[in-house]
Amino acid sequence: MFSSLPAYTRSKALSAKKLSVEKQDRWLFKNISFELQPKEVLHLEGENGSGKTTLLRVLCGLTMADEGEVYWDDVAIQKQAYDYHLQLSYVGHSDGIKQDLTVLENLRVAMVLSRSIYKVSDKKILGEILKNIGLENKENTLAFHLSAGQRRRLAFARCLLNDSALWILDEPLTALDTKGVAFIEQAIQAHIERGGLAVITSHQSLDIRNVRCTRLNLSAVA
Amino acid sequence: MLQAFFIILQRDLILAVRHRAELMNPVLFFVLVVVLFPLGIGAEATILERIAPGIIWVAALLAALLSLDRIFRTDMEDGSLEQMLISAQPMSLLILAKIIAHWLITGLPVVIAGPLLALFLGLSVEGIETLFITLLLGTPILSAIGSVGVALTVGLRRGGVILSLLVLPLYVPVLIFASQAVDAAAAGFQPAAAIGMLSALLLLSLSLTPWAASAALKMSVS
Amino acid sequence: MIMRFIYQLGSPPYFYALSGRLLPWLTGICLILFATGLYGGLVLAPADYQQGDSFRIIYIHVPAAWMSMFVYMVMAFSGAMALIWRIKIAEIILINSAHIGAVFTFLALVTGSIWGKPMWGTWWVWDARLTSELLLLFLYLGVLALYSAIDDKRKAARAVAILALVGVVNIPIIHYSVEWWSTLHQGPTITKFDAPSIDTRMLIPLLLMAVAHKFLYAIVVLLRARNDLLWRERRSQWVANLFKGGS
Repeated sequence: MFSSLPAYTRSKALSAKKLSVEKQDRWLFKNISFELQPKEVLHLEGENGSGKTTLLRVLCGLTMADEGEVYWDDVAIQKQAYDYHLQLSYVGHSDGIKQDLTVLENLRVAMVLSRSIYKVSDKKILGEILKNIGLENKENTLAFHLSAGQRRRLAFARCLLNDSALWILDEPLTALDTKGVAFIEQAIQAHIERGGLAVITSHQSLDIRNVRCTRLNLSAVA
Repeated sequence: MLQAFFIILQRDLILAVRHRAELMNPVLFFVLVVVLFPLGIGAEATILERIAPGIIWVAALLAALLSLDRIFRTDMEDGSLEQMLISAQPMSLLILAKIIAHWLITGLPVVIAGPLLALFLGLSVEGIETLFITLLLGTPILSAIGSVGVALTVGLRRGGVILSLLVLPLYVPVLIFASQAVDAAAAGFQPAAAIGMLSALLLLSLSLTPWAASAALKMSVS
Repeated sequence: MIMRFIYQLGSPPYFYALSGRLLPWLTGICLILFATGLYGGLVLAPADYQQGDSFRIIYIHVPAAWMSMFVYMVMAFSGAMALIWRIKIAEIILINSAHIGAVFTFLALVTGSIWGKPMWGTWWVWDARLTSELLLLFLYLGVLALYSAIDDKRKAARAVAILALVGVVNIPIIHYSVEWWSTLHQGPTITKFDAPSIDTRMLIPLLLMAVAHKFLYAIVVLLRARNDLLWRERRSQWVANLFKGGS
């Protein structure tokens, strides 16, 4: 279902140099460095509390590292916040979904916020996206009435709204059934084939074929 | 960019309408506080007329304070705030939209109810006219300044008490200029000077507070 | 060059060493200033022809009131440094200044009200200056409350820095509005302190006391900052070296 999409035009390398974050006067992690090229996946591993989510938030620019920098195309992300955010889709722990808005309203807000390449009024595209995430005929349902897995897929739809080359996904498979897991895996696979990058934390292993996947274990680093 | 402003405004208004029960709370609180004063002080017409502007404005301050939390609290909890911060839209503009939505939801009812209550307290017609103008100019300032206070405290478990400590001293100029204007008008003087000050405060707060609130939110979310 | 100095000052070991060398000098100068200022103010200066000896409280009241404003300016300034360059020392100076500033403000209020008793016959008058000072105390308390409510102290410092900057924009507005309010309600109040007509013998000790208070502030803030710094950096190598060699 994703095969028809063209390759990303502005996919660049994401790199981190000596990232360190301090929490409560202790190093949560120290000197994390990596470089991720287009068509690569970085899989973060580590025990609970090892700082996976914090690292993802640092990569998004939501949390500032106490030491070190994150670079997109060799420019620090703080220096190009706007351009970087255009390239970024983030699905965090909390869905960022408004329970009291309908599926369609949620999507529209997300589209405007991410400066989607599609028009908010384009019914055909919206229908296609909804079909992709398995929420067809649900466009006027309040998000409150969706199941946890459906909400998760709606959150994931943010990745499909724009031409964003970098996906940062925090436990994308939680609350999903096998069908949902397969859908996310396919979506990531297609994303990588289009030249995208992904940074993922997940307790489950992802079944993505023919993709260079680097593993980084935060517990080991600490 | 304008599209982002309007979609956030629209979003917050829709959410408010879907919580109709909560919609009435601030204005009910406002009316209750005003009604308590004659009961506590005695229903002597001259005294009530004399202190009516002060009572109504103090009640407006408290009603605004009570409702401030909603500007960012739910957005913080469900992750919408993160999505706004990493969106490709200027955060201060989104915050301005949220301030205006907050004012439409909680401030505007007070602007309408205030003059009615002033009638019950025996304020003269000139006084009521000026009261309406000051409420119209002053209540948006309360939302704007309040947004900074909420942005600073939204991540805290018990932010409520601190919020009032942060915000109420900053409300003092609004209280003074507004009630002075009404006092002057009720006594037959020109309230123009105080109203001019209020207008200046309104412009200043609407142009500066979104920046401060945006910086504060980045801190709170990190 | 200034930037390099700021960065150097921002390095904790350098700051610790420099402040350690400065402190004895500051203490000496401060003691001399207080001694001469107090002697001049309490002994040499003549009694006021209206207020008698009770005016002598200005040698504490006025410097404390000046300090309450000055310290807030320092807070806003270090807040800006903390936000822009993320300098740890600036964060520490900021929050420790808040404690001291609150104490100065409180002192100004208490001495103002003690002074008010013989002058006005009551402990408290809603005079513009006292009311502004009271609001300033609330601003300080807000800063302290916010800082203590946030567990992560670096985050708390950033929050407080933003608040201090918001406060510094608002203080003139609050001050002006309170003045406006008080002139409307009370007519011309009794001016406590008529600057141009003051006797030189009264003025010089006052200025000495004002400078003495600034030194006192500098000493206390450095002492507190050094403590705070040692605690925050307790896991670092330079602190370990300090105590291995010293004791």
